[in-house]
Amino acid sequence: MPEVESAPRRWRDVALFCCICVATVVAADLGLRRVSAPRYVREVQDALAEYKHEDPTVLVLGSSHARTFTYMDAVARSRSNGSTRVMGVPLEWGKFTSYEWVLQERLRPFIEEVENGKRKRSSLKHAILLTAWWDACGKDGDPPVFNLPSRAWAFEHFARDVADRGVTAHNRNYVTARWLEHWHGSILVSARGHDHLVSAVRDLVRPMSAEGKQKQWETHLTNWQHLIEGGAPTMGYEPELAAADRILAYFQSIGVDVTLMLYPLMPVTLTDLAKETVLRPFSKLMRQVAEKRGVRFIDATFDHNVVDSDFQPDFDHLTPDGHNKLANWLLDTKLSFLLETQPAGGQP
Amino acid sequence: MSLSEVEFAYFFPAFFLLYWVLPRRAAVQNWALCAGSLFFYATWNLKLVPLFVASTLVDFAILRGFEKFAAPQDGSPLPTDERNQKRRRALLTLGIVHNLTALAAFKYAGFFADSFNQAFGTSLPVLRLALPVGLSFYTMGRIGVLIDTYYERLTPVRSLGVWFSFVSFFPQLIAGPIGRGSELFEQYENPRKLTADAFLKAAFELATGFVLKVYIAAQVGTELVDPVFAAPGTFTRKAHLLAVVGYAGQVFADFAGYSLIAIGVGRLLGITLPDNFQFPFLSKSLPEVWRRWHMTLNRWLFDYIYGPMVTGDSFMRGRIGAGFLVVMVASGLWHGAAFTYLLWGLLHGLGLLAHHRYDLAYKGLCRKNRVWVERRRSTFYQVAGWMVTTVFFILTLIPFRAPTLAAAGKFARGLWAGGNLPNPPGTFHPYLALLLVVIYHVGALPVFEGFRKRASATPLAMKGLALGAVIVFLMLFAPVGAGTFIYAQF
Repeated sequence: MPEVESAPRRWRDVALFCCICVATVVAADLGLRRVSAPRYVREVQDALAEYKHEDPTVLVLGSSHARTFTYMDAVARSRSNGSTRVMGVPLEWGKFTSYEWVLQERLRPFIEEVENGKRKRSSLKHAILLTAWWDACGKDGDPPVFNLPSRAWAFEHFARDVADRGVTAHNRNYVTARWLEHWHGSILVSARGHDHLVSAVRDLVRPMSAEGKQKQWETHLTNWQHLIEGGAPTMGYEPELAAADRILAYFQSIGVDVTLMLYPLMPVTLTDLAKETVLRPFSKLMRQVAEKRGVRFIDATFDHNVVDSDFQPDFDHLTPDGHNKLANWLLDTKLSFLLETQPAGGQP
Repeated sequence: MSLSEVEFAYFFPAFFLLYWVLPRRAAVQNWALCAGSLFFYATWNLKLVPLFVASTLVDFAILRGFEKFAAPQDGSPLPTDERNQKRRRALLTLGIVHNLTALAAFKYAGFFADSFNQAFGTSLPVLRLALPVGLSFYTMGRIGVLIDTYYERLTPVRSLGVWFSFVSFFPQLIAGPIGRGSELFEQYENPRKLTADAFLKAAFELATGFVLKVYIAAQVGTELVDPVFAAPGTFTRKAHLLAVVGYAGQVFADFAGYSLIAIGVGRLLGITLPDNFQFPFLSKSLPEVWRRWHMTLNRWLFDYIYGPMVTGDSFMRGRIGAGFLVVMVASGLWHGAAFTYLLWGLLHGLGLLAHHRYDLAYKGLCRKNRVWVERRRSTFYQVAGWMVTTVFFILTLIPFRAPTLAAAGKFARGLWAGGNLPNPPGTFHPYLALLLVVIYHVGALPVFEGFRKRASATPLAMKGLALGAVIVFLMLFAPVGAGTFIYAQF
């Protein structure tokens, strides 16, 4: 706007101006926290921070689904008097190639760390590679997985990448994630890029009718079903399968019992078409990968105890109760061997 | 690193504190700026830093040469003066060639080799070099200083710190505003201090810049513009119209917003950068557009290309129309090495030429009868002029935005005939964003001067509240990743 002359200001005025500005933002943040509280979920960085002080007996590497194993850790510790300790390493929206990066660059230094000539952490007996259909999809030219910089990189990885390519949209994710961490208490910062805060405010101002919510749920469901069905053309992407094989091979090379496990999916989202063209072919593929390496294969895609209501509205992640329910059931059934004192030994 | 991306939120507060904690001496402040600017540059491409530094030093040596070989006095018969003049001319040539060679090699070599190969079926090697960030902008700034110093409009710069600060100043490094030695050297030569007024003004510029850049440009771009330009001809006429109008709003908000952020950041460091946009959508003629839109580029083009060309001794002397064509084609090519930009420049050159002819004819009418002067001042004439100018400007953005000439043609046909696909469903944000562009311009009309005065006189506490509200709004509604900057590619 064109300038309008006014009397010169003093720094005291600036201080007042800044204080009121900051107070407005803080007040808005506090108010909005009452509408929608910041959400905290376990990430790779949290698992790595824990790994420094822990000596797990079970290591679970997978996408966000691996968060179930954080709940399982508590259950397993209580059932085994602490002799079974489960470390879940969840890489949100990861794939096999990115799990492999996490394994090689971030987990391996902990796994192989030596102290006084011996492995510092000697308890690891089981490794589980947790997967879902998405992990085996891909095509040449896909952009790199942005979740690696944001959720798994250390500063050295960022610095190396910047020195090599400059600041890019890809490595900027590292900075963004650190920024979010610094301001994790602020709902305005932590909700950036997610719809839940704006939706919550909208609901508060003008609540959606029951029919509207039902319609929204149905639309979301249809989209999610199409997303799964859309996996067929890119299923079985060779670089991803090769990465899965290398992960299994690494775990075998360090002498731990290895399991390849397919995670349960929300029943209502699985159409007949998805089952035929995506989920069963994926299960078959993964069985072949497991058989090739001679490791245990568990398919819990359809065979599990959780129901639709145990899932969050995003159709992909379990609620806390759902996680607990699944963790208990898995320890009773398919993963009961984790509670045994001796490794069960790999078997297809 | 870009001024509107998250990494700048780490870099700038740290740099700001360091800069003002250091002793308030021009040399210290300049070297702090140089270090910060080199770091900023290195985050784009570390490998190109030596090239940037080397070319800056070459230009500095040339500028020192201008002082060593003083310009002859008018009519001086001394042979040393004649030799000096030759040396000065050689230095200027070296400076311009050296800068333009870098620009040509990095920006245009690939395009010309590609075009030559396509036209003549040859297989010349096509260079695909990483474009040094801000090359087009800082090249112009440097050449401007070389020419001004050669013609003694500017005293040769003596301090390397001043020269380096001028060339590398990080707020303007990526996309200007393109500064002049005459308006910036003095600022770098003197110690800077931050006043409360400057701080508040910078806060206002930053807030406006961020609203333009990360809300308006981003919201309009993703919902209204990108889908239609990605599949021209398939959407309805209305969608095409919204896309091209939206693009006008987007490209304005993107660049004007970034410029305001750069100006605000510069002001926080005690440097006043020149304005770059002056409410361009209020223009009532094409020449006025170019005095209001990307002002620093256009005054450079008109001062260093157009002016010397039509007033010099060459065959172009007095050929004003041809001068418009040349300068606008140069502007088009400056934006990018592509036929779409060439066409855009050509259209604007023709537009300026048509306006020039029309203006001459109209002035002839005015000389014959004063009633034509009154007609020109009438509201109807002004509104008609605004409409013709705005429509022309918006329509010429089609080749500017389209990836190829064929796509531009397809889009233009879509605007006329249209397809069947309606606008992709979206939110109200792009429409609110466009409305804000309108309000931004309308608010600058003289009729709202009283309102502006009242707004300016609002107590600071209220202004702090308003800024806080703007920040909350942006955090809620500015899309993630909205800091990506269209003009960085130029």
